[in-house]
Amino acid sequence: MKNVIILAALILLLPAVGVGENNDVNVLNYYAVTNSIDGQPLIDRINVMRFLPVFAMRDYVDSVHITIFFGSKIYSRSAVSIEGGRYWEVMLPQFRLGEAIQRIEVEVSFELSPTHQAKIALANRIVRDAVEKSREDSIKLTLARQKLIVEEKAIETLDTKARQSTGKDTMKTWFANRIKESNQKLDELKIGPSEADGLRIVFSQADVSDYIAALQNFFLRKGMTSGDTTRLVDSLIQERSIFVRKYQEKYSETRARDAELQSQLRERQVFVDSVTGAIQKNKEDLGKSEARYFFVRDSLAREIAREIEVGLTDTMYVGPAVKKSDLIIDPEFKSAKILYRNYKTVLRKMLALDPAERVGIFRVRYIPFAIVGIKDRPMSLWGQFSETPTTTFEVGLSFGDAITPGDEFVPTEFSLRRLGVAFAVTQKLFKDDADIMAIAVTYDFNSYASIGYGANFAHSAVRGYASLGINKKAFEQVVAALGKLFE
Amino acid sequence: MTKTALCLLLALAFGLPMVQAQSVSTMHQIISSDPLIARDTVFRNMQAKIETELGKTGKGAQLNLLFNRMSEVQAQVIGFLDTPRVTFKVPERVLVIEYKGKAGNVSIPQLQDKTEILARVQESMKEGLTEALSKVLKRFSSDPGKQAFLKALAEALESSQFTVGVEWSVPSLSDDGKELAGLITDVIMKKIKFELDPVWNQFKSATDTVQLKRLAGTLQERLTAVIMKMREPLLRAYQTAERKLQDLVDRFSEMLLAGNAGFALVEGTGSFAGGLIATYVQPKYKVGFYYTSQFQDKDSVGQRPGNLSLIGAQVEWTTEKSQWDFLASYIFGPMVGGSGEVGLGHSWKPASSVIMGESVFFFFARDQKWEELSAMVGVSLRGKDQHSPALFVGKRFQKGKNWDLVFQVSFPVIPFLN
Repeated sequence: MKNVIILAALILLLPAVGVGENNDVNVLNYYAVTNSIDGQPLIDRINVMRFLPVFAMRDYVDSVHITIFFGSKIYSRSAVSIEGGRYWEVMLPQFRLGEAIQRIEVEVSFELSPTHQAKIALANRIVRDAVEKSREDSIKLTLARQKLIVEEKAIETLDTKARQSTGKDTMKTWFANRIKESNQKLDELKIGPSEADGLRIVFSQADVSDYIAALQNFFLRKGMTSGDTTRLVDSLIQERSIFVRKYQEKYSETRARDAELQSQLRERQVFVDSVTGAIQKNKEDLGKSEARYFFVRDSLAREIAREIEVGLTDTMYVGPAVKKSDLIIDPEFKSAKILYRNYKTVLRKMLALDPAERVGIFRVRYIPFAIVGIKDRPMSLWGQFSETPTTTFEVGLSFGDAITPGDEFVPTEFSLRRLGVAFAVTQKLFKDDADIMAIAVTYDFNSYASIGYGANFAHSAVRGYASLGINKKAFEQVVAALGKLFE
Repeated sequence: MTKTALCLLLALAFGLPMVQAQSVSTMHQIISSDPLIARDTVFRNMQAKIETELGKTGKGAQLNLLFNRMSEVQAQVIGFLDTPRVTFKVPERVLVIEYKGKAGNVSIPQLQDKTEILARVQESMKEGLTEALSKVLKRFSSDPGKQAFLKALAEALESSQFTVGVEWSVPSLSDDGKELAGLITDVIMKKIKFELDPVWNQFKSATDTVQLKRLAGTLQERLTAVIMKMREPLLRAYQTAERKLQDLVDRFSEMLLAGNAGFALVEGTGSFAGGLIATYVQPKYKVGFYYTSQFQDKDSVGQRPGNLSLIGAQVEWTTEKSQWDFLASYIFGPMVGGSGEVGLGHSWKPASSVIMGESVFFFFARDQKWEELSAMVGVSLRGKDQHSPALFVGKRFQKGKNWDLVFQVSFPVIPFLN
């Protein structure tokens, strides 16, 4: 009964061991500062990766995107900020036993220091102001150009007006005709034009007596005594004097107006020429100043980009893996992206493990094949289906965690931590007629199988004991293989 | 292939040495192997509609695509838990709490009522979370898929640190996440109120502006800390829910081959049994055929070391709250040919993560008379997890014999078929 109680207690313990914290999260930490990874994927667990940004950048990280390459799969997900950005977490895919992550890429988007933004903002403002000023000038010149069109029209109008208002040709023709008519009339009286012009009346009061005297002399000289003839000559001379004078007056007036119009035309032409020149110059200046300011801005941008690059590729600042090609800087210097790449070959050695290999302190194994010596019989194979069937179990302890994962972790081929001690019993438990009651030193190859070697104390004699143990995982694989027959 | 598998199973069954009688029953192992009641109706319905959700081909790839898309929304859901902004406006003497664009304010010293200010924050939070959850649910093309996600998330939240110290009720699964968003908001608001109360009292007694501004700063820090602390449990719950759905999809097939193994203790000795079950699974029932070998110290009659093998059939029927199992085994071999066992089991969930069962098994050996028929009555306990071991404690009753209690532990072995 005592044995039953002990084993009952043991059996009751088994569910607790079996169920044991299946919902625990297995964490792989990715440290940006050393570009290293702690932890190892586990099967049958939620695997999460926590990306820990460099301390100096922690407050500036906006988003983290993690891509895992394993086998033929590419798994890419956005991480979530936890604890105010202390770390960024993402769930990893499910792994099968022995699978390993080949490569990890972490894309970190972060804000740049406001200093750079301020510098470039200043440069931008200068460029903007310069361009703005040029634009204002252009607007002014456009207005001037519009005014110029008005001026050009005004010039055209003036020109037309000048041509219309003067009528010099008409006046000359009129004058010539009148002279001709006057000459003909004088010629009939046998008076030459020069003689008539010599008598031409003047229009000041003081000259009237001279004219009369000259006219009488002329009549005497010509022998003109008839009153009708002298009156005719007088009227012809006076008429001639009036239209000559009228012509002279009109001519002077026209000349003055013509001179004024010509002066206005010249002025306006000068204005048009100056505006056109100014527009052309402004255009050239605008191009030059834009080019100059953009050059200054680009130079500054290059300088800042170099400065940022130097900072962000400083291994003391961002970790060892960031190269120039892993950097994308926003043209406005508001943000940048860094790609952390972990391409270390050691990743391939960090195979996905069975959690049982990690926990591995308490062990229960089924022993299908035990090589046992009992009191009167030499060591021989005892199996489930032998003549005297025996179901053997080993219950024991291992020496603790088999694995201490870390960046440079390489699963050891042989580890002392996998050693353990177990006792072996059969379905007869601890009864006197039990054939196997052994204590053995065990070694777990992995969570599937183990070997044991020790001594069998059954029947009050000490004989040898050796075993090959398998656990539930091995059963699962067998059943899975059989299950494939149904697919 | 199916034919080949069945032939293999039958060959295994008949090819093994058979002995007679049994002190323990292997039926418990069958009942506790992947019981339907371990998965809620919602999940079983989702499993039945996997092809609707993901298409007939490329289950794994499309599932990954679905969860990748969901992860983008997950970032929004978690990202929604953002920093609140608390300001104190000096000339107006007004305290303003702003969250995601919605602000509530209260004049000082009229501080008695903080209900309104919190109601606005709550409204803003609920609206945002509902929208984010709604986006997640749009990723599913079938109602069972949506409901399964909501159920998984609600369960994960219930068992996570997120709901520690607060009341949590079961949300409706048919309103596109509105009620769940409301529950999550309620939890956050309760924690906010808990942090708010002491500072609020200080506000009441504070008079000078400098002190009030400092208190506003303190309030902002505390509220930020509360909300930031909520992010990790919420994220973990989301991850757990996603993982659960992945498992449900990955490890499910209408034709399921499972195994089981068990230890038993009775009459001062031990027994070991192991076998295979092939089942056809539907949301409400499953039909299975099993083969089991049992190895024990001695038979119950001849006191000789004895093994036995059996084949049998199981019909399992489940409702929302309970499950019924009907089993019949034929135990064969030179010594026990013609022996059989029938059983009836009933299982239910006393708690969300525990399955309890009661069962009765009747065994009749070939040479026994009718009145020598033995009956085993027992109770069982197992976790809800698909891989959970099960404990069975039973007692066999037989005329003229007093049997000891049986302690039996069985382990389901569920293969990964993908």
